[in-house]
Amino acid sequence: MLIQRDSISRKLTLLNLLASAAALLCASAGFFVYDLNNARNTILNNLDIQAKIIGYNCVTPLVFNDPQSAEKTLSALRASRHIVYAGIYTPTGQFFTGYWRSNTAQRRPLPLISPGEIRNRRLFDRQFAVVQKIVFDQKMVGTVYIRSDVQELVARLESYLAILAGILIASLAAALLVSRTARRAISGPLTGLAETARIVSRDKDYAVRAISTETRDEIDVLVDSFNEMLAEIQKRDAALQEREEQFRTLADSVPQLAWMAEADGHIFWYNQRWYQYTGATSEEMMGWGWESVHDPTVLPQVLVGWRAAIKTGKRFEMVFPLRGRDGNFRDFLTLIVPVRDANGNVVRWFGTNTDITEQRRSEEALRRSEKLAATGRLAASIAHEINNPLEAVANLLYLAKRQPSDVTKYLSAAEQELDRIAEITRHTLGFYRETASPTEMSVADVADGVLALYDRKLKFKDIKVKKRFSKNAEIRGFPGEIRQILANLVANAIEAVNPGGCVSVKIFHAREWGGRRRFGVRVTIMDNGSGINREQMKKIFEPFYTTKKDLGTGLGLWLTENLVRKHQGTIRVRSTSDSQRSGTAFSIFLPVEMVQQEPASNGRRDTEGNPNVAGA
Amino acid sequence: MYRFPDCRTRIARVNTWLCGRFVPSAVATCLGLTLITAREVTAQRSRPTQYDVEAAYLYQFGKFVQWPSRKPEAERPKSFSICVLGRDPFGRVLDGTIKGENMNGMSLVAKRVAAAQEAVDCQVLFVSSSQEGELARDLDALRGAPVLTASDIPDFLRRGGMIQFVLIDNRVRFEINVGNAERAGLTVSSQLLKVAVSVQGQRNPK
Repeated sequence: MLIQRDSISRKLTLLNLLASAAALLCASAGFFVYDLNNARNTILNNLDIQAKIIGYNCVTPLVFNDPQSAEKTLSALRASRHIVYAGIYTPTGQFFTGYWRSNTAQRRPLPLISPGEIRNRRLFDRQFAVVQKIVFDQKMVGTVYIRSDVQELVARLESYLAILAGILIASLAAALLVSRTARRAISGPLTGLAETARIVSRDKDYAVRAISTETRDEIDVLVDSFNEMLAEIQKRDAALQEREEQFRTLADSVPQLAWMAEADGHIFWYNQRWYQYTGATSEEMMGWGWESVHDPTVLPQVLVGWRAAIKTGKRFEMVFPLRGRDGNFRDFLTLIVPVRDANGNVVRWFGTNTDITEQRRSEEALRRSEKLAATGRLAASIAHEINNPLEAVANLLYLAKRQPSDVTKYLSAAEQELDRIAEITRHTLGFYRETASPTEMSVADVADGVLALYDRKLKFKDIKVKKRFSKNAEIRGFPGEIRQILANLVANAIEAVNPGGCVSVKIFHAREWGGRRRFGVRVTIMDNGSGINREQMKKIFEPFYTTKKDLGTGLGLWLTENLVRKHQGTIRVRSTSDSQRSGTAFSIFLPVEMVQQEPASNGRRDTEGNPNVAGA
Repeated sequence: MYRFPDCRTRIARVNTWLCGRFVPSAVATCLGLTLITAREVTAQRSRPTQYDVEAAYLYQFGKFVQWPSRKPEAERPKSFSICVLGRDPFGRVLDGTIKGENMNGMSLVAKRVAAAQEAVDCQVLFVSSSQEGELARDLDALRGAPVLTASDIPDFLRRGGMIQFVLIDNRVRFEINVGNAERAGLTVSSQLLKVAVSVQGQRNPK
């Protein structure tokens, strides 16, 4: 439809024209009817007056029965074009004389009608009729009957219609002109606004502005608001861009590889580090292209974990190797966290890959250095242990030389001392006998050897040792490392207790508490020493943390925990530093069998800083 | 002094095509007119004779002629007299014609006079053809008196009369001598002159 398709300005124009035309037609119709009615009344009035004059002039002709005279009077009506017929009738209703406009038509007198029979009640009656009594000296002397045609009215009607048509055309032209002007005032700015809006939505160009009209009307307000909106959008765009820039800069400046993925795991952005490390292009990497830089043997596990995370919407953490641009794989600790919307739905994933190769190397170096330190301490300890029996042997040899009679007795005593030295040496060697593969061993035997090593120290401090071993508590593992674990913990316990204190060592078959509920061996080493307070508890497994100042390296418990983890075991510590019943309990769980290569390779470390532990 | 005819408008003025508000009044008027017409038709059934008409004309003339006003008031005539001089040709017709009528509020009286001198107080005087011989003397007797004279007598106007009845096509008509009337102080309405067969005499310039 015309009115729907066309622009607002057309509609305005059309509405203007329609309104003008309607108003004009209504007004014209009103005037027209009023005027015609007026005209009709005027005509009837004139006919009345004419009838009166004729009546007056026909009094004597009627009274003195002179039709010719009356006819003369009537002939004056020729001046009035519209009168068709006029008749004078005697009081009895007989035709007296008459006047006919046309000479050709039959000059037949019309029968007199009474006023009640007059038909000119309507506007468009074909003839007007007037009937008047002629009264003279209070007596009716006759009747006048005049008929007039409606040509005057018709002519008036025609001229009126012509004028109306003229006015209508002129008014519509004027209305058109006015609405043209109005279009400039109203639809002009609107069209401009619409055009601007179209440009904005098409080109996404928010720098354009609609032209203000400065008229302070609603359209102007609309234009201003629109412009403000555009400005606001621009401002936000700029702010957004700045944020984006900041984010990119930040993301590119961190040492980690970082990336973002859609909720379904489709990766759509990587930071520069990623490209620097992998040497890949963004085209190769988008979506699931990252699989190409993974180790094919590890990839299936990565995919299982990652897909599970996508499905459950939970954070995902794993260490896996990534291939660098040089073709070498390096280990990365990967952390993927979901970004959620207001309803809690995952809308995005944010992932980082941290290169932990260096960290691992340095950890390895630390382990090695602690081993060396331990060796040093052990060497001192061995020297200490060996020194006594050697002195005894030297004394016995001296006595044997002086008193040859008792030489056998002295030599057998020296032999005993030498056996002791051999024993110590044998245990000492155990620390350094590295085996490539795990071997079957009895944890109780290892514990016995460790306690034997610290025999002198225990006796020196008068420490009571409580042992409860189940003899066949066997696991597969590396004996040297297990020995080091136990030696560390026993040494710590000895140092913690006061002279005359007590150290308890329990070894028995057990099932893991919680978790995987594996079968294995639990070793519990308790002392009634000074205990560990809460602040210390947080840090005891950290490297270089020590309470012994110059005496320790701070690596003992760190290494212990490392070794336990290596055996896929768990270590827990409970301690209380209450003055009445202070003490510390380390509990180690070692599985019977180590499982080869676990995906989430980290062993668990349970540190509970709860001081109120029974049996501590 | 004559009265302006009262042409009371009896048409139904139609000022609306929207409603027939005036229908009842129009119907009533129509009915009334019909009744009047019916009565008058029965009254004038028989054809009037020459003297019937002349008697009526004598009465009607009074309406179109102005008599000089008399002063003081008291001298004004109480009645309007129509007199017949000589042998009365009307019989009872004249009395019948004026019965129940009045002239400008004055009662109408029909008189028979034997001599012209008796007619000085009459307003209208019909001179019977029986007086043809004494006409000059009679008119002489009335000279200066405001009496409208009418007669059948030939040459009546030339001999000093004012209105002469004539028969044309078997219809009663009349001629007027305005000069004679005005000399008697009478003013004849132009309306009357209009229907006269002929108008003679000069009006006196006033």
